[in-house]
Amino acid sequence: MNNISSDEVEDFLRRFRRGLAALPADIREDLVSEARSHIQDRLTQGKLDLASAFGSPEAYASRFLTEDAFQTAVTRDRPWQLVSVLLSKTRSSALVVFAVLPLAVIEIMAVALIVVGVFKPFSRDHIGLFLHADGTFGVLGWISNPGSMREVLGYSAMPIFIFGGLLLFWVSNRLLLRMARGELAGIRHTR
Amino acid sequence: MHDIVTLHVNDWKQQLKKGTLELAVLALLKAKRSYGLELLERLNEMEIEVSDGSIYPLLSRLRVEKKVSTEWVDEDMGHAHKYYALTPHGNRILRGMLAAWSDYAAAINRVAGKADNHE
Repeated sequence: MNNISSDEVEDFLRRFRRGLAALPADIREDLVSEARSHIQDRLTQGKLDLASAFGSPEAYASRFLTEDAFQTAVTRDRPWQLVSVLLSKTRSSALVVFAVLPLAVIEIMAVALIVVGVFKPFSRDHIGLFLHADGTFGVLGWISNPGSMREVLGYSAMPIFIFGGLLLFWVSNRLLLRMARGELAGIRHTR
Repeated sequence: MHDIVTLHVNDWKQQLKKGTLELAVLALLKAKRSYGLELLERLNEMEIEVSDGSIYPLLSRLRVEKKVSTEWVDEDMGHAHKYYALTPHGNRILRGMLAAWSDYAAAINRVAGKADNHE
């Protein structure tokens, strides 16, 4: 039995379209047209109950968006997109705080290490591994004023920093990718 | 006590359904290209209960993964329908899933058989 007016249907479709705003226009309109076609069929059958069939239009739209965001991030494997999706859409805040954020910080540090390695020839005395006079660790990376500390790596700091940074970045990116795949599988199996 | 058992079994059936819905949809699409509501009704006829709002996110994902293709068809019914068809890639995935399902179901049946023998 249909107890739904055409205004309610249009309002549902309008809010559904607005909820899909993050998707490309052609995909968004395709999904809205499909929902409209489905609703028209259900109206003809006399079996339309929008609330129990779809829930709120915003919640229904988010089912496409969340999955699409993770799917895109996993498929394209773009590190910043992966971090952004995991930070904004991971369901467990503990996972965000204790895994995603630390790995994102490690990725930033890895990039910094690569940059520092590249600049070694231009800032020979300020980049490297610096030890105090007594041989204890001082600084790894860049320092404006080494003072009494001595740099021990020399030009070998360049490949060590660049390849070390690349390795660190690759490992943290793989871990983030694995997390995103797990999250995607979780989303699919809880629906 | 009976209610708790029913609740538990129903919850388990839900999980089972979520894990196998993709297989069911691909198998139906292999038999015949269909639009969303048509698929939904065929699934429900086969006692695989799926809500209206659950089928489209799944179909959307299958399209993104290139397991199905889509085509809008105007069938002179007042409005067009978006038809889904299995792609060759989707067909290969389906064959793999069916083989895995068959092996797994056989293994579970063997285990269930042992449990029955000890009833």
